[in-house]
Amino acid sequence: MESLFIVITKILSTAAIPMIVFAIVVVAAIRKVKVYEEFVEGAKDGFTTAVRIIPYLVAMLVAIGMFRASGAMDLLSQAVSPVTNAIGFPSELLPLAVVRNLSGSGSLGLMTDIMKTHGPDSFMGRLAGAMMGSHETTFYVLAVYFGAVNIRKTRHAALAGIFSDVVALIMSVILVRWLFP
Amino acid sequence: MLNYIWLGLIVIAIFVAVGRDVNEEATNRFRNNEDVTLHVAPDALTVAGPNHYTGTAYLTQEDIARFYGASEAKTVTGDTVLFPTDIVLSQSNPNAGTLTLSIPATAPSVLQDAAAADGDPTKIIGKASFDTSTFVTGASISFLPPTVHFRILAKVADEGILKIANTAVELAFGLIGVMALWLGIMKIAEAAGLVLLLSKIVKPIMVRIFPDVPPDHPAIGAMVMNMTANFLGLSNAATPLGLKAMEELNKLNPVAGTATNAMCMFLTINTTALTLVPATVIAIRLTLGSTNPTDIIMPTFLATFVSLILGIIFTRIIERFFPIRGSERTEAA
Repeated sequence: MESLFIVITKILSTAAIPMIVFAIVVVAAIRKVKVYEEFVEGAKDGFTTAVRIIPYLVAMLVAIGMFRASGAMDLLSQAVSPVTNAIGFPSELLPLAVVRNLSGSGSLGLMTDIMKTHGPDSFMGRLAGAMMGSHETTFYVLAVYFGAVNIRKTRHAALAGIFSDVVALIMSVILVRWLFP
Repeated sequence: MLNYIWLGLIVIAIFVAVGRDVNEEATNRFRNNEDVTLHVAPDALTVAGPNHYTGTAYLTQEDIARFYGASEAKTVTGDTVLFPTDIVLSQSNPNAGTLTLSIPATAPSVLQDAAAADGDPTKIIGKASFDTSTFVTGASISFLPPTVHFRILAKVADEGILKIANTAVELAFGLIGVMALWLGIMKIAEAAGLVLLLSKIVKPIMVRIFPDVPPDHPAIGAMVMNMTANFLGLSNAATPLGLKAMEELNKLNPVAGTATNAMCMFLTINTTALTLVPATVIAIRLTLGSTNPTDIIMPTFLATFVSLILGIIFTRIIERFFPIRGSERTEAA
């Protein structure tokens, strides 16, 4: 069933981590680096970095959690539906488009739901898949990455992230329509 | 920017929650303090023990429309909804007791919401009155569910605030192990000069995208490793490497606490998530019986690629409209 391409990428993604670790350690050893000491020295910061992002994560996830629990997400989807209908974007996929930016697990659930309802090979199913794959949970990434270096003034980062997501969304619609007529 | 988004999310959430709750109160959606009449088919409720009956009760779509309103009746598909029912008779009165109504997936949404508001979305427990002698021939039961007030606000408090705060800590703690691993590996790679080597290879592209970062700075190496990990779908490695890159970028930051142009650009590239194979999506399509689950790769890749290019251009254009106000220099990073 699986094409050769998929088999190769599977092997690549399974072997990548061990091979990278192996290659770095061996090359470093050849270059006379004290690998064990250097590793421990670097790994020391793992805990502090992880703990440093907690306040940022709490702030971001709580705001998103409140927004979702209140049902505001559905209202927002309804509010923007005239605009999206105009560009030929099915309104059933709107919640997914909004949630994708906010929550990884939430959007995965929505995508699975859409594929179950409409079938994974339908226009809706493919579009949901393309939307899921071409987006990142922007606000989570912003919170974690800026949190790790205590950045509170994020300037244009959120706007740029949203812009890219909108472009990816529009391109997904165009491409799925074009490639699967 | 994030200030407004954050404030907006919270304010909108509270407004929507209060608005919906007030609307439910005004229309008395849950028919608080009113008895709903459940029907019991002949022999559908049988003795399960002393003072204990078990079986099924039902509501017709018409009953639901009459009691809860026509719009609630639209949320059921069939003519009747069957509820597994359990009754424990009261000690003093043989014709009254406590009724546990199990809520199936086919139940009207008003009952599902009421059950969820009461703590367990699968059942509603309330007081009931009836005549046990009629259970054999078919009967009616008056059922008084617990009252429901301001359920959405309660949901926001519970699911939206308290549980999520814990989730955030779990997520952060889950990162500690991989964080330590990749920071250790990065340190070895740095000491061996491999990060510098990688930086030199990608220099021609990176100096254009990140003009503020010196081409042989360790930040370049960390960013490239993060992008490679993302591209290969190795999200476990990508986050630690990305955070390492942010730390390196922060060393070039003249104003602590404020994002630099390079950081914003790096995040734009990161959030577009250019991936060779969207593995999760393919896996789910496969389990749902897609005939060719991998046909999603092409549109996903192209859509992401276009958004990456336009995102980079857009970030370069708008960065000048968000000037850095350099007053926080004294603040500790």
